[in-house]
Amino acid sequence: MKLAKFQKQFKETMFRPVREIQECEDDFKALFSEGDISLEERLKVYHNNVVGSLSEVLRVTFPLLENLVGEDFLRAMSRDFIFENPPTSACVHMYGAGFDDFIKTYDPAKSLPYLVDVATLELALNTAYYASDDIALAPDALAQVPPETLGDVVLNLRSSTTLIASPYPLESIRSFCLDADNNPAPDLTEEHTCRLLIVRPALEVSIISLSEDEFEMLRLLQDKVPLGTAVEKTMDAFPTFDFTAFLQKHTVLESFTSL
Amino acid sequence: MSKLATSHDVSRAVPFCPPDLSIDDPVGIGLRSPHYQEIIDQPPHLGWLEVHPENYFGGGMHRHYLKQIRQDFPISMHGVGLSLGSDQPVDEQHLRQFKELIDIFEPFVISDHVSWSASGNAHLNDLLPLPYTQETLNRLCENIDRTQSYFGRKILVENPSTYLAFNDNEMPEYELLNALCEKTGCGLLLDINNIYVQSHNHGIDPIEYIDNVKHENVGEMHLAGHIVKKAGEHTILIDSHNQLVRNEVWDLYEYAVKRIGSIPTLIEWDQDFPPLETLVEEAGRARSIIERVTAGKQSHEAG
Ligand SMILES: [Fe+2]
Repeated sequence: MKLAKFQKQFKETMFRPVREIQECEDDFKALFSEGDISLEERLKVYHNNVVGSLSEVLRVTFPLLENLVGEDFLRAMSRDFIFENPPTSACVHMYGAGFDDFIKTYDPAKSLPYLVDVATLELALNTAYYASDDIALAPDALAQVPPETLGDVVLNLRSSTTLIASPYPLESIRSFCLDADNNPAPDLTEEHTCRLLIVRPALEVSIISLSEDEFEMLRLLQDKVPLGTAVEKTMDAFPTFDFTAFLQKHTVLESFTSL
Repeated sequence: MSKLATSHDVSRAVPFCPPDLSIDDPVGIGLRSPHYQEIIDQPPHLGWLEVHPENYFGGGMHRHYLKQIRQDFPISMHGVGLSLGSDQPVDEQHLRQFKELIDIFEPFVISDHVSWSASGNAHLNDLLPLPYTQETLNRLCENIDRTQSYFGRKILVENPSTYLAFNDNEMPEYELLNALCEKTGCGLLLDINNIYVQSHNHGIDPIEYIDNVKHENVGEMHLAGHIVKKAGEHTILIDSHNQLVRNEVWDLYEYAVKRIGSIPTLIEWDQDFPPLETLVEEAGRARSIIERVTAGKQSHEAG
């Protein structure tokens, strides 16, 4: 058998449930000598390594999910995700993109709709943690720009940035998961949109709670809308938007990259 | 002690590493995040540290610590993701990210494995086995060539632990390793625990293995712990990197040092981390074997 075909069949054997491990094709089985130990046992060692190590990667990235649903539930859900969405890069600590969308379609999680947004939050935290290093906008940088061209400036958000809007109180869910003794149980019935900026200014990842207009402004900047137009659009939707206060707050928070 | 990293730099087209990056003390350990702070606060008695470059592809905390630690220690970069044995070219983006780290951290040695992990777009996150055929040899050579020309440096390739036995092997493992070195100018990272695991799992003679790999190609050795797994009435050894190096492996290591010489040697430990002290003690045990063998040779020569 050609090397490519062997590797493809081996891969398919790994990304299906272990109880189906013997369902590989005969020409694949014929590649191996069993000796004292059956082919099934031998393949199981690899299955355990591949699926076990990837499940562990997800467990490390999604501690809040583990806390909310328990280890067994998360492991079963991870396994199904892994079979459908194997990693596409050797940089496995970044593995897990799309887990939130997968949870949306995962029947056993249907009764816990907030899990999807908690997964989105954890993906954002992980992305920020491993994002490439970039430099924050210096406090006086915009003052150097001639006033007449200020409106054309495209103010970029840090490479670590994710903006999240959710109908669930993600911050209280997180605090409760991390320390149930000192935080109240979150009220999941109350309709209250939570808007968050996840960003890593230096080494630590920050979670910043945003007002509606602030969120809109950051969203426009993320879409590379020039500063002037972004302010205009935000003020159209939110006439009380205070751009000066916004700029000052996010310069201090180091939300922008250098020009 | 002589500058170890360059002592096996046979003059080939691919440079091994700049002479100023060579090391003075032959033993090191794998650098893992639970030990970052302790290593910075009290640099342990070690010659060097080894990292998996894939853990530093992003920015942030990990790179920050590595930059600090690099000031005190030489670093080797041991890839786990090049997938040299895949029947497809090594991923360009992976090479680019790896090279970026080589330029920043100047490792004294660079390595990856004689195994595969990627098939098509999927990455299986494990070091998977290969049939030892001409086709495999050719594919490995193409990927090693591609990697070495991208890096502008020689790499070492590591012998694997495997749990499957192929019917159509055309050569023993050591012959494949020798051929890789001969055809590409790469060197060998000889993992002594993996040789022991292979000898148990596939009934080969570890002494014959060590005698038959071309000694001048060996640029680094690995030592690690393995577990014994029951499979029906028999046992299979799993290269688990989660415990002390076993005595049988220490014996085999001593034999390898006698035959091959004083080679940079690493203690690998990748899960269920022990206190740093345990790793430093294991490294100390490797150092004392090297010193004992070297002293024995010298007195033998003198006598
Ligand atoms: Fe190794």
